[in-house]
Amino acid sequence: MSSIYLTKAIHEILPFEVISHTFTYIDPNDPENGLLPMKLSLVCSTWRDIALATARVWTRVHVQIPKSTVTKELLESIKKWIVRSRRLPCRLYLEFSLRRSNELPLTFLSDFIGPIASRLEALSLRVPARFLNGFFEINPFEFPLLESFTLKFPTDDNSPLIPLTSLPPTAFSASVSLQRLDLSTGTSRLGLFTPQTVFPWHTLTYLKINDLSISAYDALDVFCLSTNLVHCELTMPGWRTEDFANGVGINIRPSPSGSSPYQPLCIHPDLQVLRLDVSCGVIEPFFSRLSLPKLQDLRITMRSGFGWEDLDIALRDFCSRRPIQGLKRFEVYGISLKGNSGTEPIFQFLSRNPAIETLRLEHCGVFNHDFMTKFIAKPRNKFLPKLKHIYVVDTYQGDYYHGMEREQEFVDRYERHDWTNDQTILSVLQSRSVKPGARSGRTRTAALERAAFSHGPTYSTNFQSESKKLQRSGLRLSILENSQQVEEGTDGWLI
Amino acid sequence: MAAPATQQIKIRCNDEKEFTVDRDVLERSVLIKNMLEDVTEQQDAPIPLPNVSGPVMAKVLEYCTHHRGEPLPSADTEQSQDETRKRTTDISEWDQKFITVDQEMLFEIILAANYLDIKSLLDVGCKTVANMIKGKTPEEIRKLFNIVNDFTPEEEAQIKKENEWAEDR
Repeated sequence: MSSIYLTKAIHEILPFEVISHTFTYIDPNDPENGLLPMKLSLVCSTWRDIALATARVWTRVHVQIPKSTVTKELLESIKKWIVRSRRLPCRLYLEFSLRRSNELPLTFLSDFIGPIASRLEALSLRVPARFLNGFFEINPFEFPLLESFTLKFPTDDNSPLIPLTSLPPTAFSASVSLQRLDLSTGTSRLGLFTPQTVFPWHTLTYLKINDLSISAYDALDVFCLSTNLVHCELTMPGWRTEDFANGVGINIRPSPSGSSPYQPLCIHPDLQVLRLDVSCGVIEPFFSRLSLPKLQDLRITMRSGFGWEDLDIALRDFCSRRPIQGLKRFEVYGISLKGNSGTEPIFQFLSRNPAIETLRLEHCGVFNHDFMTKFIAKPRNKFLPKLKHIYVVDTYQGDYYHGMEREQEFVDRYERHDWTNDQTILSVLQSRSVKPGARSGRTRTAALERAAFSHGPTYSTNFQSESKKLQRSGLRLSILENSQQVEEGTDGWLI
Repeated sequence: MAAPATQQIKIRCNDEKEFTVDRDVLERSVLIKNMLEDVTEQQDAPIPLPNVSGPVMAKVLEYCTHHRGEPLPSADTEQSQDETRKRTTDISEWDQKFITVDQEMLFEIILAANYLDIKSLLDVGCKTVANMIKGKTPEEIRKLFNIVNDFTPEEEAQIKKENEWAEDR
């Protein structure tokens, strides 16, 4: 081989068009590539010239206004970026903070999205609601290539919304490729669940909706159309005590047809991920109809403390069904707030689904310690032989356990318990062949947990430490604050 | 005039190394295919390939032999799909093993594929380079490909400032 390779740069060996062709194979949407245009442009002036001439490099546009002051130059810079992607399909992500967005014109969305709507594959709007109003009022755009649509509002945004019932029915009707729909809070205010069915539900494979309100519940039949779903996450915050007191909570309202609103989901054979955040009265009929042979990930969050006796019966029915062969992740939040209602069927369910690798039980009340002793601490291969991660998270904040007679007992138990020498934890870890490098005192517990995270099952009993751990790893978590459950992402946006 | 599938063609590389190869193998190269179609009479003289050395041609022929018989993309289809189609850096197992060579040979194969107009081989080479760039910082890329940073600190700052609104993830 020639020695030119020892002294010459790649662009002195390969023609520019070949390097440009190479750039087209670097995915700008891959997190490992960071901000691709910047990365390539900063290598040297030749690479910058080639990058500027390679349209595909510029097909991901992620505008984050909180990072800088809005100036004319900034707006021009964004426009230039979009122009460089020429006519290629692209993905647009817009994120404006409430404070900084005051510097932006209300026509920002229409100015930027309008010209490229026809070639958008993904559109993510994390913007104050007032921008959306302007956007939908002005622009009946069509998005024929759209595959993914995300809509989120800042947590501190209380501006009124004009319902999307006024949205032109053509807006998303051309989006025949739409597969992924992720809507955050404000969904009900937007009026997305109307007979107009603004979105082409039948093409969806991924559906995540937070804040399905009481009124939205009446329109849940739209899910009958979503026959391709493999991932479904629904949040129905009918948990507030005052709602139930007034008799308007969704858990006590019949569905329009008189059948379970989840029936269409339950019979879907290919669903792989199901996460429901609902009131117990709603989930009861769901359990009784559960038949999801391909399910891999099941999360159930239940709010409020009504009707637990009925739930117990429904759970028994649910657990008596055939095992879900491929179920790898099972999470339950708030299953037992009073006594042991609901816990025994969960044990049964676990024992019948041996493929489970990750188990999370959060706010499940009194049974946790007993559960650990009776089941998890059993030797390998006897109970959940494939288990790799266990999260058992409790909180004893008063309101969550409202009505619990032994509340103080809980506080005492968890605050004063010597976790560093807890025999249950130790036996669990030992039974799973975990060899932590424990030293002494609290450090020992931390070392045990760290070792467990790295090498075996994880057992956490303290909610606060668990939260911090999750935050560090960038995961989302649920936090209880002053008797209200708030879902937060680590980035301060509602999820 | 269609030639028999078993016809043998001679080629000569820039180091005088000669190969005798089945025509259908050589026709993976659009350049050679066009040359052969332009020749109406059978010739014994080898086809000169002044831009490819013997060792590199041996690798190229290994690739063409393995992929002989696979449909060649038509120019029209290729052109129309190239811009809009989704890109993947996935490389088949055989191709991956084939292209596991040192950087010098990798560049030589890419240059040969580009010269001989073998689109699929060029893609394998470019994907390999793209995978080498993946996950690296500009400084690491410079080091990997022998590149000198010719930006002044001011120019570098200007590039960063232009895109400061853009979120990297």
